[in-house]
Formats: sequence, C-alpha cells, structure tokens
Amino acid sequence: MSTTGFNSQNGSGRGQAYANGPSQNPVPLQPPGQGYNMPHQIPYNPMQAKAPMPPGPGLYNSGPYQPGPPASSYQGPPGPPMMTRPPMGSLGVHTPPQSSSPSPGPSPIPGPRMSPLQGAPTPPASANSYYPAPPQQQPAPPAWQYGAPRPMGAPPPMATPPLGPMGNHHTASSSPGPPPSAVGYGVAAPVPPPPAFHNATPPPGPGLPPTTVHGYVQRGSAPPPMNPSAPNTYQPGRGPYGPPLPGAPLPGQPPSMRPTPPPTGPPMANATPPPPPRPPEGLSQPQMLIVSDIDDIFLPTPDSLLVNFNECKELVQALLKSLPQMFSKTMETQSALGPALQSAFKLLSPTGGRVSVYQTQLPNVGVGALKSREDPNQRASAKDIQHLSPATDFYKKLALDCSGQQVAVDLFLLSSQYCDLASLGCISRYSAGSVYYYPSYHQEHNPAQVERFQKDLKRYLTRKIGFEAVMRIRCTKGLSIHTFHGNFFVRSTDLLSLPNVNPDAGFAVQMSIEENLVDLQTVSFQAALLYTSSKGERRIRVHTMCLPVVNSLSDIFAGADVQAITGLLASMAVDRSVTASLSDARDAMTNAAIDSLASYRSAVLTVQQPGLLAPACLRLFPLYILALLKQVAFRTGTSTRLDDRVFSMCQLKYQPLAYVMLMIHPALYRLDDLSDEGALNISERTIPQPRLLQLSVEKLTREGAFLLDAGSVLYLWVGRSCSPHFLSKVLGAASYAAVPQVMNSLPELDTAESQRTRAFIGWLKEQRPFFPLLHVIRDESPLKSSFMQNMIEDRTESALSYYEFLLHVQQQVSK
Amino acid sequence: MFTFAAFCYMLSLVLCASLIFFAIWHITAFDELQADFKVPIDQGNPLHALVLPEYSIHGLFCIMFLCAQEWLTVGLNIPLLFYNTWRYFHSPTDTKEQLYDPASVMNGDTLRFCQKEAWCKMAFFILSFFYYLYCMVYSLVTS
Repeated sequence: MSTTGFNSQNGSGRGQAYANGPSQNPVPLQPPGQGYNMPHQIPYNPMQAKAPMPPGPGLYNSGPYQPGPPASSYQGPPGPPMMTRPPMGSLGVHTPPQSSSPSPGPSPIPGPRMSPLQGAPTPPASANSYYPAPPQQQPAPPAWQYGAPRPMGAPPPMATPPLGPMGNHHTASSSPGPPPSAVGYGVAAPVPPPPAFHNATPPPGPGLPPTTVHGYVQRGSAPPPMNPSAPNTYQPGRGPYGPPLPGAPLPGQPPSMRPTPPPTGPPMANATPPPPPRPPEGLSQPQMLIVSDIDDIFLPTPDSLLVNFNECKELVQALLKSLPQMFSKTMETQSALGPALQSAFKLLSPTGGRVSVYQTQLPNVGVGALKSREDPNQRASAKDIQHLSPATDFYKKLALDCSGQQVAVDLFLLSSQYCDLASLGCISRYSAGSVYYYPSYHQEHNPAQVERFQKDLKRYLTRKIGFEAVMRIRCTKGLSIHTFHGNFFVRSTDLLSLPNVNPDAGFAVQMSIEENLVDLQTVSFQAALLYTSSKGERRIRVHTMCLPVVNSLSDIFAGADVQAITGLLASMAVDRSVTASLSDARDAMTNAAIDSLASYRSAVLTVQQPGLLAPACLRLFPLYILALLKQVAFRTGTSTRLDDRVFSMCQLKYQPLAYVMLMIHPALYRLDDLSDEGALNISERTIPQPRLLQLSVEKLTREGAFLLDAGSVLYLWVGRSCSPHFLSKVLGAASYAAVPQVMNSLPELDTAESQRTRAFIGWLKEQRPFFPLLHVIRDESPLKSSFMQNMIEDRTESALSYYEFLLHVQQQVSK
Repeated sequence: MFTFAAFCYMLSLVLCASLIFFAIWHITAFDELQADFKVPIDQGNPLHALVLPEYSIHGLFCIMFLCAQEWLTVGLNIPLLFYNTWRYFHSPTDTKEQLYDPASVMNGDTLRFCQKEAWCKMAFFILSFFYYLYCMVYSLVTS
C-alpha cells in the first residue's frame, strides 16, 4: 500500500488517479492537484472565517499559486499547483503578519511560528535576481565598511557591537520564528568568511589594522571584546520589534549561505590593508562576524543574529547584492559545512524553522569533513557499487538533533564534482528537508541549470509550508505498518516527525497483515497530519482510505495498482541497495515481478497456457520493473556518477508517486504532427493531447520530432530529416542545420503549430512543482545519449530489451 | 577443593548476574520504544554505553574458561562470542552507533530484531547462570 504525499486519492471521486496502464492521457501527467478543478472541492478559506486579521502589513497571501482570492487560502491537497504559474510580478511582497500581540517586552512569541519565508521573496523586480550576474554589481563598495574591491577573502569584521544589552541587537525572540533560510542574513549579513575559516577576529579597534586572511587571530571561544567606537546610536529602550537601530551594525552569522568563490584575484600579499573601521552610520550595512574556532563552534552574540525579515529587508537586500562581490577574489577554497550547520542549529533551536544550505563543493574542514570516495573508474562497473551509504554519522546525528528542535535542513547542491551526496543527503533526509541537485552548475557556462535553479528556488521560497508537523498513520486492527519511506524521522511506531512539511514530498509505507481479517469487510488507513500552517494556526489534516477485504487471490490481482507497486518497490530497492548491495536490490526487483506473475499463474489461472500471462492490472509490471532496472539509481554497466545515482535514489524515495512514475517511465510523444483532435480546453487554451508512444527507438523516426517527458527534464529530439515545415513553424529554424546546438526554449512564433506545441509543453511544465528543463537536441548533440538512455525497451550492452526481459521472466515463472 | 576452575565459576556467576541485568535493561528499553514512551534518540545513549561492557565481560568469560581448561563451557560460549564480534563489526546500524540506529529503529523489522536479540540474550544468560552455578558446585565438591 502506498500513501504518497497528500495526494492520496481516497475514493474521492477523482477516480483512477493512477490508472493501470497507459492511457491516452497518460496517468502520470494527471496532476494530483487537478483536484482544484473538481467541483466537489469547495475552496476552503480559513482566513475569511476569522475576524481580526493580524495587524500586519497586508493580508498574508497563502501562496502565489492559488488563482484568485476565493481559492487563495484553500488548504486543499497540497498537490502541485494546477493553474498557471503566476507571472513573476504578481508575487508581490508577502509580508507575514507582525506578531499578533506586539508585546513590549522581548517575550518570544509562543506557538505560531510565522513564516516570513513567504515574505522572503523580494519584490518582483528582483525575484529573478537572487544571483545577479556579476556585471550588474554596483561599482559602489559593498555594504561592508572596508570598501569594496578588496581582494581579501574575509572582510574583517566591522566594529563588533558590544555584547549584552547594548542596542542594535534584535532580540532573537522578537521575530516569531523567522525563517532560517533568510536568517543567516537576518539583518546582518553574515556570510561567513570564505567558506572555510570562521575566525573570531577581535573587533579591530580604531587603530588596529584589520586582519588579513592569513592573519586570523585565534580567539578561541572568548567573544570578541567590545569596540568602543561601535554603537553610537544605541537606543536602550527599544522594544524587540523596533527596526534595526541606526548606527550600530548588526552582527550576524549566517551559516546558511555557503558560497564558494573560485580562487581568483591577486594574492593576498598585494592586498592593500583596508582602512581602519569607521564608526557605522546607521544600520545601513550588514555586518559580518567571523568565528574562527570551528572545532567548538559557538554563536558570537546571543541575540540579534536572527531577526525579523520585514524589519530588516533593506539590509538583507543589501547583503544579497553585495554577496557575490565580497568573495569574488578570495583565495580560500575550503568549506566547513559541519560547523556551519552546527551553528545554524544553535541559532535556530529556540524557534525552529528551516535552514537552506547551498553547497558547491565537498566540505573538507572541521567536523563532518568528507573525503572524495568516488572512483571514476568504477562508474561503469558491472558489479557492485560502493559508497552508497554515508561515510560519517555526523550529518545524520545532526539531522536527528535538528528534528528534535523542529529545524529542517534543505540542501541545494550546486557542484560539478563529487560531493558525497550519500553523506550530505542525510542532513535533509532525517530532518524532513529536501535535496536539490544541479550537476555541473555554472553561472556562465550552464545557463540552463541556472534558470532551473532560479525557478526551483522561487518555488522553494514561495510554496506552502507547514511547521512542527507530526504525522500519524493508523490502520485497522489486524494490520500493522512497519516501514516508512520518505524524508522524515520516525519517532515512534507510527509517528513521523516532520519539522517542515511541504507539498512536494511523498511518503510511502509498508504494511503487513498480522491477524486474520476474515471478519472484516473493509480496512481503513488514516493519515493524520498535525502541523502549524504558515499563518501560525495549528491544524490537523486527515486523509482516510478504505479498502475492501477480499478472500480470493484473483480479486487481489484484479485490483492491483501497478504504479503504487512500482513506487513502493523502488523505495524498498533503494533501502536494500544501501543496507545490502545494489545487485541484491536488482535481483529483488526482478524476483518481485517473477513471484507475482508466478503466483498469478499458479493460484489464479485455471488453465495452464504456455506464454506469460499477467492480470490486466499488472500487464505493465514487467515493463516498469525493467524501467527501474535501467534507472539511473539502479543501473550497472553504464557509466553513472555516484552523486547522480544517489540523487536519483533520493528522488525515488522522496517524490510523490506521479513524478516518480514519470522519472521511471518517461512519456514519449510525437510533436511534429500535433493536431487539435481530442485536445483539452483549459482556460481558453487548446492543449493538444498526443498519443503516448512506447519507449523504443523503433517508434522514433528521422522524419519526426519527439518529446520525451522525464519529469525533471524534457527532451525534444529533432530527427535528421524532420520536415522543414515543423522546423520553421515551431523551432523557427530554416533547416535542420540551422537548429542551434543548445536550445532551451521554443520561440514564440505566431503559427498554429507553434502555439499548439508551446501550449502542450507549457501544460506539461505547469503541472509539476519543480521546473523541468527543456532541451532541444539534434541528432549529434551530446545530450542524445541521455535521450536514448530513456528508451528502456531497447537492448543495450549491459541490459536486456523488453522482449528479452519478458522471456527471462517467463522462464522463471514456468519453473 | 578450591581450584582455579571453581574460582572462575564463582566470578562468572557474579558477572553473569550483571549480564542478565544488562539484558533486562535492553528488553525494557526496546519495549519502551515500542510503546512510545521514549524517543529513539533519547533512548539510545544508555544502551550504547552498555554494549562494550557486555562484550568485554563475555570475552573475559571465554578467556577465563580457556585458562581453566573447562572446554565444555568454552564451547558453549564460543558461538555467542562470534555473534558479538560479528555484531560489533557488521552492526546493522551505522559505523559508530552500536546496537541500533535511531533513525531507522522504529521501522518494524529492526525493532523486532532488536527485541528478539535482547530476549535471546537474556535467556542465554539465565541458562548459563544456572549452568555456572551447577559447575561451580560440582567443581567445588569433586576434586
């Protein structure tokens, strides 16, 4: 049984969300969120039921994806947004309500932990510019007081504001659960000095030259002494919600951003010593504190590192704008991710929330340092794959600690080399975070990945979120649930602890029958999720599913849900390959197919016929198993990077079933003969519905163009002799040779074919919560091999073709 | 007569009592886990501290009986010694965590395995307690 995500269809009239077998409207493409269109789902607008709005700046829009007010707060099944993605501009600034009880004293806001996350997206203008291209950097010195273009890696800390009751500190309690992601940058901008050393350099006094990168003064754990020149604008009576006090720079230490600037720039020796610290004028500049003791990390100031985003928005923006320049010439290339995570955890423990880690290399310093353990020669090994399990316990233990304090850690891996995702991924896996992976990410050389990252980040920051969640899955007496799959921590026998719950996660459970069920007509499963919504309300969401109990095996076979079976098998295989070995997992999957068909043959079929017979529901089961065997996660014999493999395994366990199935068995369409027959009409757009094709090169022809929808990536393969009509009308190219090598979007031409194609591709893209890349590939493109790898029905050097696999299964079944 | 063997048996009697105590602790701990009284993370710490003492005491037994030339007793303890060694190096948990991995212990299979293990160990230790008692008396009386 598989309860995946919150899209479980409880017989709610959605019908066969996961139909068995291919249909004209391929099942994986029916977004679970299509429920938005269903008439019986009344938009539930909890906000309208409440009288007083929190006295915040504006109504808190519950997310940019709901179209229009009535559905705006619809806490419906948090499936992928069904409607069109709102244009960038409509994001607006979602400011979370200020604490509803503006208490004068610095009392922490109990209970609801608001998510200024939703307020995090900076105004639309800069929504796309989280990582402004370098040329856009203002020539003015960054917000650091020491002048801009210093080739120094670590701008020495500003006048560190004195500790204690001296102002400029936002008491951390003032912000009700600020989002950890923006936290680091709460106000001050913390950025830890170039990835490695956290130095607790003493705040330079007025006459003390700032330390250079190499002149770190090891301060141990003593907090930096006070700087007399610091806060000359301290206002003692400031309440906790006061805006950042002018004058005193706010210290901060955001371990969450971890940029790894390439070592460029002149060597340190040529660096001119920066001018002595000027007294800060107004809180207009974020400040950085450097903690050098990475073995025993501590928070340099007890408060004011975590601040309310809305109050310090300008500072955060200033920090983000200045961040790329700050480290552009640094020579430090080491990464101390472990200590950074520990300090982030310390920072967030009082309030809980979310940490976003952006990692571009292997962490190699401090606790949790990892070594590169991938052997490039073993990538294509036909035997077992090593190093699928974590190298160190550190991240798992830290994730468990985080889970206990309701902190979730999300990992964005933007590296081109081996990053030991097997170990790093643990930090997200057990703290209910998510892992995003952008192999070969490069700002300039790989704009497609950059765009994908931007879109994913936007979605990440603006999607719905629930905090401090626990989920309990109950079932009828006589059944028991014994294994769970997904990103969470199992706190007790059926209680899952999810510090963050988001609509892009899927869960799977395995149950077993403990007692005799003869007396029961139906069994029920109920998943109850208790969470704090982003508006601060504590909610429970319950899904219940009832299944009939039958006493004959043929009924079981008639009601089998092949996609759920495949999804669950994939999760189980991932577990098996980590604990046992990959070849074990592969054999187990094949045996699953063989056993089920063998039992069908022996128990259900009355007449023993030659050949391989399968029940109608399971007729695609061998195909899906073969697809799993050829999946990046489980394939052997083909060169696969270890990180790619591990990420694929993570996705198999984490994604909701619809996208897992797309990943396993992509959908292939022929695009050059789209027509309007059978097209869907959605909001006055006509979306053609081409037929699904089998995944074999037999179905490809040189005269056509085909679209392969593999979930997170779309390949548009153009045949060599494709009709010039298609080329010109849709791709805007005069001839085959004129189709550019790298093309990631279709030009907006005014022709009917272009509109149809774009409508179709746009429709595919909108249905999913992540942003799929489109690659238009010609025959000789380097991406052709990845396109062809998806042709699972074909034979390759290391794998069987579909027909051969069926023969193999048949032989085993008839034994 | 008070031989070395008798002395070994006496010592092992006492230590076996402590082994039984450890086993009972394991059983209670896993039972608490299953009944949701405790969270796996918190539960783990005292249990992990018990693992090495238990293995070392048992190893001491084997060495003692080897020196005392009580072959039958050694033979009975050898399988457990192998099992302990295997467990130590191939624990179905993480590298440094002994006994169980808090992140995955609540999965039904692991929990059942740990419980079974704890019960078996306790049964074994109780039986060996009485066996040592008998052997001690026997070696004291006959010599």
